[in-house]
Amino acid sequence: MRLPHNDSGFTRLIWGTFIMGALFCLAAICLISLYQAGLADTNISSLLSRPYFGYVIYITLIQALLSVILSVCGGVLGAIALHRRWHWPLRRLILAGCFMAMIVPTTVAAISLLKLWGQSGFISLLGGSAIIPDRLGLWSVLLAHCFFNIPLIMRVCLSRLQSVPQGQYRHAALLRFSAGAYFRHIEWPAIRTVLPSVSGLVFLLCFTSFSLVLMLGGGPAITTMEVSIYTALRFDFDLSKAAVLCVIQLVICAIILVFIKPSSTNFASDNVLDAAPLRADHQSKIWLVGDGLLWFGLVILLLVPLGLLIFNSDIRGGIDFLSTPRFWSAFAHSVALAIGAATGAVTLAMSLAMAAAEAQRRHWPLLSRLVEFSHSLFLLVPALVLGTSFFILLRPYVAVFDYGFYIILLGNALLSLPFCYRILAPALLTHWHKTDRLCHALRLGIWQRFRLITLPALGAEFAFAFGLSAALSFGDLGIITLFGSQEFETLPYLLFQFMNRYGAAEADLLALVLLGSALSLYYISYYLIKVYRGLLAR
Amino acid sequence: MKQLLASLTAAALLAMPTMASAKPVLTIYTYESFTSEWGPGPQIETAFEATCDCDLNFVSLDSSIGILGRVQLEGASSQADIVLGLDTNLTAIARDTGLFQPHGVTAQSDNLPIAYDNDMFMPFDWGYFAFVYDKTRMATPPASLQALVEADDDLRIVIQDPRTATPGLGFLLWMKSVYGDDAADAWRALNPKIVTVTKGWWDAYSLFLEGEADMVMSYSTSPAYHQIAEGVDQYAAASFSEGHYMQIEVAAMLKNAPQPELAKKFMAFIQGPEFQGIIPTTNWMYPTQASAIPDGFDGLITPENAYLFSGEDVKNNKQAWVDEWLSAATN
Amino acid sequence: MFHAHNVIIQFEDENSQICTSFTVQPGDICAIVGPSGVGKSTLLSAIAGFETPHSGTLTWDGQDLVSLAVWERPLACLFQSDNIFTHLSVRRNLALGVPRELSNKECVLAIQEVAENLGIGAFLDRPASDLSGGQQQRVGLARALLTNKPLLLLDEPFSALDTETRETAIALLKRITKDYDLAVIIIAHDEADVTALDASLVRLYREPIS
Repeated sequence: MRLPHNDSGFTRLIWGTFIMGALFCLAAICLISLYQAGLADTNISSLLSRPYFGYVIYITLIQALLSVILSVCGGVLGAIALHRRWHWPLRRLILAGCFMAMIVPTTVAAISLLKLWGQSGFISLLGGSAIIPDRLGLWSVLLAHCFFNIPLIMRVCLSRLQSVPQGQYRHAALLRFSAGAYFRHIEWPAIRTVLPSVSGLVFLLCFTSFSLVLMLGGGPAITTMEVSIYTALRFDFDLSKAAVLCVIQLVICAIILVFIKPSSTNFASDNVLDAAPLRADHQSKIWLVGDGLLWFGLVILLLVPLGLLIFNSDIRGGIDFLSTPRFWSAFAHSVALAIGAATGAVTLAMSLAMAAAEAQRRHWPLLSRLVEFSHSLFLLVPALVLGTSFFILLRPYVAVFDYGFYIILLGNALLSLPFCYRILAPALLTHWHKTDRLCHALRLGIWQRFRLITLPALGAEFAFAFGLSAALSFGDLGIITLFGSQEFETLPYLLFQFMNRYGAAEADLLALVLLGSALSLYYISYYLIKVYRGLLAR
Repeated sequence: MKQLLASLTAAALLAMPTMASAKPVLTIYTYESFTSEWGPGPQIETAFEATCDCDLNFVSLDSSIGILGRVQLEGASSQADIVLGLDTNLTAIARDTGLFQPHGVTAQSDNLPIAYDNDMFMPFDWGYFAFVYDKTRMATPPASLQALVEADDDLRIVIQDPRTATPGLGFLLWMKSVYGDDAADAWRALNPKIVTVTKGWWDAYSLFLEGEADMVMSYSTSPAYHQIAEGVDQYAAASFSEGHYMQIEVAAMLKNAPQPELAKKFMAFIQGPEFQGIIPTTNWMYPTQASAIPDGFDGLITPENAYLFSGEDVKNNKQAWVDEWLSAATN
Repeated sequence: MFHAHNVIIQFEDENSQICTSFTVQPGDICAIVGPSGVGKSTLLSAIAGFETPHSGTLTWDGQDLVSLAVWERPLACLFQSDNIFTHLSVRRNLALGVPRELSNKECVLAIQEVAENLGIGAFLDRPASDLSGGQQQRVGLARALLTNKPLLLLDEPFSALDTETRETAIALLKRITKDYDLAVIIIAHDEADVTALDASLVRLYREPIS
């Protein structure tokens, strides 16, 4: 039965469509301002013929491709090894590490990785300095990208493996599948369905990687277009070069986005990963060693660096820094940005999901698809491009640096919008579908409905989305590098200033504070929503 | 807690223009090490504020060339009155931006290695670029730039990015002075020895102090810091037989300076005995006034031959030379 | 001959258990019935080896089953759904069931024979995902037969089928039970199915844990 069109549904549609329009306008404004900035009168071919320019595009692509290949191999093998040996100890810890990697700020990751792999890191101390390259470069960037993306791919693959019907695992056991047969007949067919979208996403993330490359690239040889945009803008004041780089990056990202649809990646929430797999397979001795090595690799990659940061940092020298106004002002800026951006991202994601659902219900497929697409628009226009174009756009009229806070707020909200949407939209759609008629019968308004029905019912999803975007914004080192100054710093920016001085106690301390705060932000929002739910139930 | 609340409120009010304080504020953009607690910034602030009935506000940026980039980005709306920390290599480029105005002060330097009189850029200190090393770790440093370039690849050096830091640019120009058209090959030979290329001087120097590199691109005057301030005789600058590239650091006032009178006053203050007296033992460079040279500077190396490109030369060639370095650095 | 003796499966959350004993001869069908949620599937899982019973013995021709791994037990299973691998062709699905000691030629012949017997010979080279639900169940059954195991466990295999297909399937099951001399244990939901199958009955009920 189709529902009669009601007012609140229509309002939702209009509102969501308005948001969609605003997002498209924003993207268009970015493009126009880039065009104005000098694309119009730049001799592009002379710019392109400069050798370094071509090299930047080349190395960005190569770096991103290598990152994807390594992350996919590591993620798929890791997920299978974890799934196969579910009952081994450390599983919870590895899964916790996978989860942490979604939240750990890039600056913290860079510091932690250097604590293990750096010239004066733990491996060198143990006498392994021979296997560590003596300077930063491609390897350190790839390592960091693996640190962030192997867990992402593992989560997606694991939740896919968990959703394979129990019957298949039972037949596999009855038929005495070997590890190879498992892979061919169960694991690979399942994983294959999620791999294109998630590797597309990883490609986009590595292709537009900024802070990790800035911190761990070790010089001009390893760079990305994002870093070059930053350098062109911040140091060469070469607006047209920045604009050309932005546009090339946009085109490549757009191609990826249209053909691979990375935006359809579904992020598993933690409860999917809690249940033990139902498999009861024959476990061969050969794979015992292989799986052991894979587990060991995961521990080294994900857990040891953070462990070293937490347990092996000498922060005594930096403790005084905690009492300086500089620290507290940066901390306050970060918290304000995190909460603001997370609220923004969740609101945007919900508005879009509502409109998409409503358009679908009214059988307007084109609108529904457009609304759906708009959430991933800013995977395509990375934060730095957004910041750059805002900068160019507003510069003639206002003192842009005074508005840095708001530009970063907007940038961070848009940055986490794709993640938020993927977490919220599927749950919201089913939920609305179930409660639509009842709410309509009870004549609940939008706000009432959200407060009393939707928020408590989808508490876990909201907490995940809000916490994740809060943590992401809290740790983001992107647009702030353009707008940061002594008067306006955030914690990641402070850490970035300190981190090049290896061993500085302040850097370790800041990294710990950042890590702790990002995790706290996540868990506090989780806890608050749970409490709210409890209050309503009483 | 009170402080936290205050900061939170500050964050919320961030977009508001800075509250007008009773005293006029002179805003100076400079590089980071200048304003650190052991740098010249705090002392100069106190000294100048005693003469002007104003607030002196140093805004520190993460690198020296970044100062120019920042005022270019801000354009006419910049809050800065003065930029402090460019060098003569950048003056022609800076002049072309049209953002600066003549300072109107007669230059009176009796301790500059060359005659330098510029209506827009006021020299405040100078020095020679040099590689600094730790005598306890390296007995005999390379005796020339060529020896460094051709040294074994297990020698580890750290330099600054010529796109972001004046010492980085200085080293690029030094290489160009010595090697001319063969600079690209020299860069390729040097590459394996470069541990990393940092954004600013301080990043590189602290890496060196932490033991991450054997030599760091710095100044011939840097060891004086360790001798005078720390009483440590461990560090020295390597004297290169080809000669050293020179740096004259300058300040300039912006055309749209919100406080032009104060800015002019500060430009004159730069040449005065107080400023010049503070510089050598805080910024660890030679003062522009002979009377301000401290005792401990006698033992420093003094190159027989010094290089310096004119600002015009750098303006015309910087892009090509940086590109040359980039392509050498990337293969 | 399959024999379950005093098999007890406990549901500790609900503080109750099921306890049962029964025997199935080759060529016979035994239907397990009982209210939904009583633990029919759990009992079948225990026989197959996916779960361990609290106590009691399961034997085949006097040999203890409980100590054997899933793949060592002399049995094959067919569930409500998900019995085949949809990314493979029908032939490849069937080949997974053929004992490894058979040669290639014997394998091809065995598949051909069983497929013809079950009326899926025409689909052998089609992707399994193209088949209807009833046809997919037949492929599952064919593969179970190919494993050459004497005991066949069926967990509501007809529940997803429409009435007409179901009648054919029941007739087919009766026929192959005799043809292959199988001992069949089936969970049935519908008493009519039980009657149609001529099956002996095992009724399950919960009792408190003593």
